Parts: sequence; structure tokens; C-alpha cells
Amino acid sequence: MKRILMNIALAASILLLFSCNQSPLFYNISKETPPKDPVVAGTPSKLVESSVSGAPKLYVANGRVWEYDGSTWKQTAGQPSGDFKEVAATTGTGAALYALSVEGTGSTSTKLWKSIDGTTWTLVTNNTGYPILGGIFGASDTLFAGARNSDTSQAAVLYDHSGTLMTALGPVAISDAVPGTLVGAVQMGGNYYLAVSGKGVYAADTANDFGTASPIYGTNDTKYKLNGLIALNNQVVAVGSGGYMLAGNSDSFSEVSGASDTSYPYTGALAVWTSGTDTLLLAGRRYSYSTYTNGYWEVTLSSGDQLGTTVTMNKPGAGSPTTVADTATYEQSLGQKVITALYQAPGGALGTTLFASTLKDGLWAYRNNAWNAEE
Amino acid sequence: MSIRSRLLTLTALCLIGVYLGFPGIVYAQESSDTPQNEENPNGNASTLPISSDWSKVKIATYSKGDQTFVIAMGTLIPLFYYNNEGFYKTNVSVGGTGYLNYNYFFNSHVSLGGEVGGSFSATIGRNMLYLVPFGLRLGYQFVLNRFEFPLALTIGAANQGYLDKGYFGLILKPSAAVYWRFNPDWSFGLNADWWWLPQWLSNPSQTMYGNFLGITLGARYHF
Repeated sequence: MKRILMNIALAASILLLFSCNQSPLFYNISKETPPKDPVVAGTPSKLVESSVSGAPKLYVANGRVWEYDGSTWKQTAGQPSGDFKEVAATTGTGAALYALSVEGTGSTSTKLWKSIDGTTWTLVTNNTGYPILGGIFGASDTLFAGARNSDTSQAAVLYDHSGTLMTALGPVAISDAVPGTLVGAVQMGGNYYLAVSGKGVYAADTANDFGTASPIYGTNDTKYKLNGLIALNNQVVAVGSGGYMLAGNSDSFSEVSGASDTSYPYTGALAVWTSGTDTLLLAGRRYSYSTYTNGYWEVTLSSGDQLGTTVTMNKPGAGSPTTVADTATYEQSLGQKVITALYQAPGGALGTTLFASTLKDGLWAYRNNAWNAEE
Repeated sequence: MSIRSRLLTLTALCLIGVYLGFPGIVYAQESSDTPQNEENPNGNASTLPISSDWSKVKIATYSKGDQTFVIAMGTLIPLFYYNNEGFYKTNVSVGGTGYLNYNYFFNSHVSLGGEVGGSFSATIGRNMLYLVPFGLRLGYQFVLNRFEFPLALTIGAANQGYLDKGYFGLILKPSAAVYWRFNPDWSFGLNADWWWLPQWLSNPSQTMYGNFLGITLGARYHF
């Protein structure tokens, strides 16, 4: 009997040893919300705002182009046939809405469509020698598009010059370490900034001035694996799947202390969120050692909307200010999803709702103190 | 003792054995003969003391050394969570459960054994909760004709899983059942088990006591 009891105690000890991860399962489950079926399903693109139709609207693509007028999402009328993967918008006198379509099952045949009224679409001419497009971004008044040549040995960044694509940057030799994909384009302080994966961030004051320029100092380490770019008031912030966040300007960039962790790769989703005088930088992240720990993190921006020299990244609900009312409810909903894009509606008729495009789980929004798919 | 004496003794024992082993036959023969019994023309042979002797003998269905092995399957109904801040909805739908248990009887009522089982339940967030309890099982049983009513308390541990998170902790599972004895080897019945699963966390607001009700159909093998 004594031996049996000892064996039982030994077995219990071993089980306890392997059960160090004591998580509040019932508590977490009690915070779950029933997921809705997303009206914009699949993997939506980034969201952009454009007023080409005469009224401000948000646009997103998931195979079709969708628009949001502040109350409902519906497919944009008059869009051409095709599998639309991305949208982008430019502002200013030549404001336009762009949509990138992929023909067939592969991604080697692409078309770039342009609309200046939201209903009529024309093809953008591409005779650059880089026919395969992927990654389009509106940087203020200019549309930039990532591109590859036919044998995918070289990449380039193109820009739209009155309906015709021209080469802005390139060629960039493609390799395993250098995908050469355009992952972001912004304008700040009179300069355009282009982020190219595996290469770095480039800056030039006009679109045709990049040529074969070198990346900005501090951005060209291949460990960064850049996948996102955003402009603040006087800083440009770049993130990568290597887990690093960089900040700087056309002179140089440096790693942001407190925001770089190789265990938490960035997804490339970046957005600025404001509420009154509070401003946060939101960044999509994944946790390398968990399938279900994803979502986004928050960084409080200091006065002037810029990152401090050292920052603290918080999960939503953990800090103040924050975008959500309750951390646990967030963690049981959007916190499990991989976020590919974040965007806060600019106000006015569009409201200030915070949206998130997810990997395969559709378009989500934060409404009524909870994240859920947009119905 | 001579061979003849041994044969006589054996014959006597066999006769006693036949008498003790088949009283119904003896009684039936006497009863059927009674109306024609010439020595008792009034037909009141039922007053014979032989029948009343046997009605006083009760043989227990179970005794020390008896064992049962049970397999059961059914549903797990979520009831509620609670902690010191109140009650919470479980956000879990009715799931499936099943278990095996073994019981060794120390007398006609009390048994001790072990149990291992498992359950799965979908959550409203379209995730899954898994509970895998095991433990010692203390039982008390009473019998009424062919119906048996085992009561038990299982004390053990449960490995619990949800998404990629886990919890390993105590489970208390009081249960009650009713079984119908089909034959000497098998009985079948219905079990009701209350699952009490405390999840103690360092953050008191996250501590929760889970309560579930298992309703299962079971088959017991007796040996």
C-alpha cells in the first residue's frame, strides 16, 4: 500500500511539473464574444480613405473592392472584373483611387486600375520592363507600386506619372535575403519614403529622384525584414517581421528601444489612433511561440506625436490611454487574429471607428466596446 | 474410516446439498401433492414451517472482493462559473464526455477504485475546451431487487486545455447512478456527475470555479 501511495505521489509530481502553464481558462472563456460573419471576408487589404466619388469613403479589397460611407459596407459600383488584392489612394489635385488586380491563379499577371470618380476605371499603362506588380501605396499625391521583372530576378519601385508607370527606384537584385518588395510608401517633411523588404528605407524629395539611391543609414540590416511603414508628424516609423521597430528621417534611422523583440515579429500593420488629445501608435504583432497570441500592441506617442527614445509597448487595455475597454475581451477576440492592416476612420461622416484587416478572418471593427467582424 | 463409511457420508452430504440447493423443487413437490394428501384432507399444508424459514434468508448481491468495470459515454452540460465576485456564464455549449472506472468492493456497499475520462466542449468563440480528469473513486452502493444505485465521489486532478493554454488542477466529482442488472455479468444504467473544477490563479479576479453536469449512459461489467 505504501508503495502504491508513493507511486501515486510520484505521478502527481510529474504531472504538476509539466503543468507550469497555469492559465485562467474559465476566465478567458467567460470573456469570449460570439464571432460575426464578416461582410468583407477572407484577407482584406489595407484600408484607404478617398473622396474621389464626391464624398469621403473608405475602401478595401478582398477580391472585390468595397466601400464604406460611414454606415455600411458595399461593393463599389462599376469596378472591372478581376481579383482585386489591394487598393491605394492619392490626395491633392490629382487625387485618385487605385486597385490592383491579379489575373488567373498565379500572381504573375497583374493590372493596375485607376479611378478619379470612384465609378469609372482605367488601366494604368506599364511599359517599364517590370510587369509584375505587388504592393501599391499612395504617398500623399503620388502612387508607388512595387514591381518585378518577368523572370523575378530584379525588383523596382514604380510610380504613376499621369496614368503611366515610371521607374522610381531600381533595379534591386532579388535574392532569398532580399525579396525587394515594396512594403510602404509615405510622404513626410517634403520627402517621399519607400520601404523595400530586405533592403531598407529610401528617401527622395521627388518620385523620380530615387534612381539607384542607397538606403537610409540604419535601415539596411537584413535582420529587420521590413514589412511596414508609417509617417508621424516628424518621424517615419518602419517595422519588420524580424521583430524590430525603427524610427528616423531622411538622415538616419535607429532601433526603437522597448519596441524590438525577435519573439514578437511585426505583421506590417501600422496606424495612428487618436481620441481627444490622446494619441497611440498601433502595430500588429505575432508571438512566435503561440498560434493564438496575435493582435496589435499600443505605444503612447509623446507630445508632437512622436516616439520617445524608449517606449513601452502595451497590449490593448493594459495601459492608459488605450483603444479597448477590457484586455481579456480583446484577447479572446481580435487578440487571436493575425492583423494585416489597421486604420482609424478620420472622423466626420466616416466616424472614428478603428478597423482591422485580418489574415483569413475578414474585416473587423471595434464597436460597442468589443472587437468583432464587420457585418 | 472404511470405504463404506466414506460412501455413506458422501451420500448423506449429497442429499443435504440437494435439499439445501433446490428447496423450491422440494417445496413445489410438497405443494402440488398437498390437495391430494390423504393424510391432510383439509388441504392446509401451507402451514408447514419450511417456507417461512427460507424467507428470512437474505443473500447480499455484493461481497468483499467483487469488482466492477464501467464504461460510460454521454454529454457534459455546462452549468456556471463562479468566484468571489459572482456568477458567470460559461460561454460553453453542451459537449461530449466519456470515462472508464474500476471499483473494488470491500463489503456489500463500500468500494474503492479509480477513474479516467475526458470531455470536449465548443465555446461561443468557436474554440474548444478539453477536460481530462482522473482520480480515486470512493463508492457506496445499495441494491433494490435488480436495480443498483451506486453513489461515488471521485477526487483527482484534471488536465484542462483551451487554445494553446492549459491548467492542471483539482477536480471533485460526486456522482449518482441507477443501474439495472441485466445478468450476473452485466448491468446498464444512467449516471449523473457533477464536475467541480477550481482554477486558482494568483490574480484573484481570474480565479474561477467551473461547474458542469455530466449525463452518461453506462455499462458495468461485474467480476
